[in-house]
Amino acid sequence: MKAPLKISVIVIVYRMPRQAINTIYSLSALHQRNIKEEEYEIIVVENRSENMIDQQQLLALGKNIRYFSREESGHSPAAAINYGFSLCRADYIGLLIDGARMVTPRVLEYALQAKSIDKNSIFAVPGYNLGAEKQHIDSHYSEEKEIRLLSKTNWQQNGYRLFDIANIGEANPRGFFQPFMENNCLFSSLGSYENIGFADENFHFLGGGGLNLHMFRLLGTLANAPYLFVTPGEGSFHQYHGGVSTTPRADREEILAPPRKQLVSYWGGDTFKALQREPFLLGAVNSHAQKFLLYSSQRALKRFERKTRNNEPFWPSDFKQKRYTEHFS
Amino acid sequence: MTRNPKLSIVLIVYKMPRQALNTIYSLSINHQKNVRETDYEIIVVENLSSDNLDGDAVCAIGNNIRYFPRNETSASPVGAINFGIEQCRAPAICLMIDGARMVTPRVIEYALMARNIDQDFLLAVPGYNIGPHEHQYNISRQYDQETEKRLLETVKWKTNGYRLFDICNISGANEKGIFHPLLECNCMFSSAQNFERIGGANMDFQLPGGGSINLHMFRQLGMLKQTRYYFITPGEGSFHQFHGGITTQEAEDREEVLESHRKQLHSYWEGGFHAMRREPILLGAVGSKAQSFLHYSSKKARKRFGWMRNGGKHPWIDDFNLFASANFNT
Repeated sequence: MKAPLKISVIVIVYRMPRQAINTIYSLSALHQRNIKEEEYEIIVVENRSENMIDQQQLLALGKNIRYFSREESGHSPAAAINYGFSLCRADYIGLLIDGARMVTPRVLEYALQAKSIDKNSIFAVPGYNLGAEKQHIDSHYSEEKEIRLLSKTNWQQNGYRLFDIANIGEANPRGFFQPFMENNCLFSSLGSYENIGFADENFHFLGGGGLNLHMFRLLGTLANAPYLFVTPGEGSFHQYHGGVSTTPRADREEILAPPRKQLVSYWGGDTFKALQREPFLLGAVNSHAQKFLLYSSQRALKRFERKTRNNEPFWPSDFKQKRYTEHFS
Repeated sequence: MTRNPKLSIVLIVYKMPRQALNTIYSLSINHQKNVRETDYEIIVVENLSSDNLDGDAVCAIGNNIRYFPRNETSASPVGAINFGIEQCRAPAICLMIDGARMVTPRVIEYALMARNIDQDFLLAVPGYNIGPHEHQYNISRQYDQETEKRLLETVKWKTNGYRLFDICNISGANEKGIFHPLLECNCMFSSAQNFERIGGANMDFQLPGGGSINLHMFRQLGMLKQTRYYFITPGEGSFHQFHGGITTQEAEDREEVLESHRKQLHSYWEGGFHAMRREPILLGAVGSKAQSFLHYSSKKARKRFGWMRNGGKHPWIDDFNLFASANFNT
């Protein structure tokens, strides 16, 4: 009898065949280390468009890849995500809402480690952008430039080289000891996703609007999710693909305003607040990732200093948990 | 009494009642967070001397503490270590060869997590020294037990054990931080089976204080094929209190003593002894107090990785040798 699958990874794709093939390669057993192909599955859900993945090329990347294309009349990936959830055969699920994010080689190994500590908690891989500057700011950055950058690093041989050509993502611009606004490579148990009602299909805006921010905070607020695992030495790397919030365009702010409003309406207050939970580090940090650890640590020292001076708790979102967290120095 | 503990801690004590009581308190449920008293047991083995622990005071600290005084003719703790290991009832063991090392509040929580990941884990809690300097400079820098007592009182460590990071310096055993090979570890965790595999403490290490027995055992555990994962806690520490230990006090013949330790140690390892060069997997949160040490380690790591790259050397060669086919790291 075959052993049950340990992880299902859902990758949502729309109009990004080149990027998605890179992402799936990075998740496949050709690139992931210390995990066997038969221990996990990759579920690729693509909303149909005029620019789709080459199925044959995709399935050649591994025997554990399942591909599903579907019609979608709306602009949001929410329904595709829920369709992906319905297909998962493992009880622990990774969600990459944006198929353009490649990952480093030990993401799945560490996800399994987090699962063996506490499967209901979130396991989050910090986000980075390929290129020297944030993609929505750098008007000279293009897909062509990125293709050249990627081919120079030979990342397929050593995925950690992606750190050499990346900048820190806008979701965690001050590093991983600060509250995470969102996460695009997160793992938790099927039960936890069920507890948050999976992806809320009311998030109908282009690209899902604030859906991933919403889901991340919901998962992190669950009472039975005691930890927020973060990988200091692994990353998810955004490739340029003309995404809603990751492309320089004059009307960017206009486009982003309604989804923001929707998000705020769910959580109350004037602005959406990031989840403020103490990150639990998991994983090695090699030579390529070390500069981001150094940066994160520098920013952490400043944050702790400021919080202590103002007598503010370090991680107020942890108050809901029964376990001890350092709140004050 | 703890019937089926998940973890047994072996703490070796000799002529250090004040320090050992602090250590036991730091390990007890009064101080450890996010675990239950029944999850673990603390086995205190004391080689009797002119200055002993009060057994009743020890056991009053918690219901999971067992105290074993014993007579020992040797100046080495190896007999006491093996006696302690024999008493362990749990499948995982923590060895603290020097009873003078207090620990921070989530050491046990994280050790139990490491065990959930892989039962033959090795987990090292990095070492620090209480006070502004290494303890072998105690005389010239006027550091003594009284100074230390005052220091500990000032920070009220019993209310928040992480404050120990505020009054310490980094240990010579890992002076370049946690991304450099650790020379030794005085608070190490592994499976009972792994301790069995290395044959416990080698009884040949009869020099005072055991010589380099802890360096030897740490590397032995780390070099087992069964030890797939080597964890380090970047946000937890073990803190040495001053007690006039063999290598941790100022003495004219300190270098000579160390040389005898080295000689014995080198003789056990082909090509001589060196620190274990395995890539550490970080495990645990890093709070406000420990962050400056992580920052320091990260700076030192960048330098080390730079040299290694320029020299064409593998930064974690022991992983490569042990698990080349598994391709563990870059």
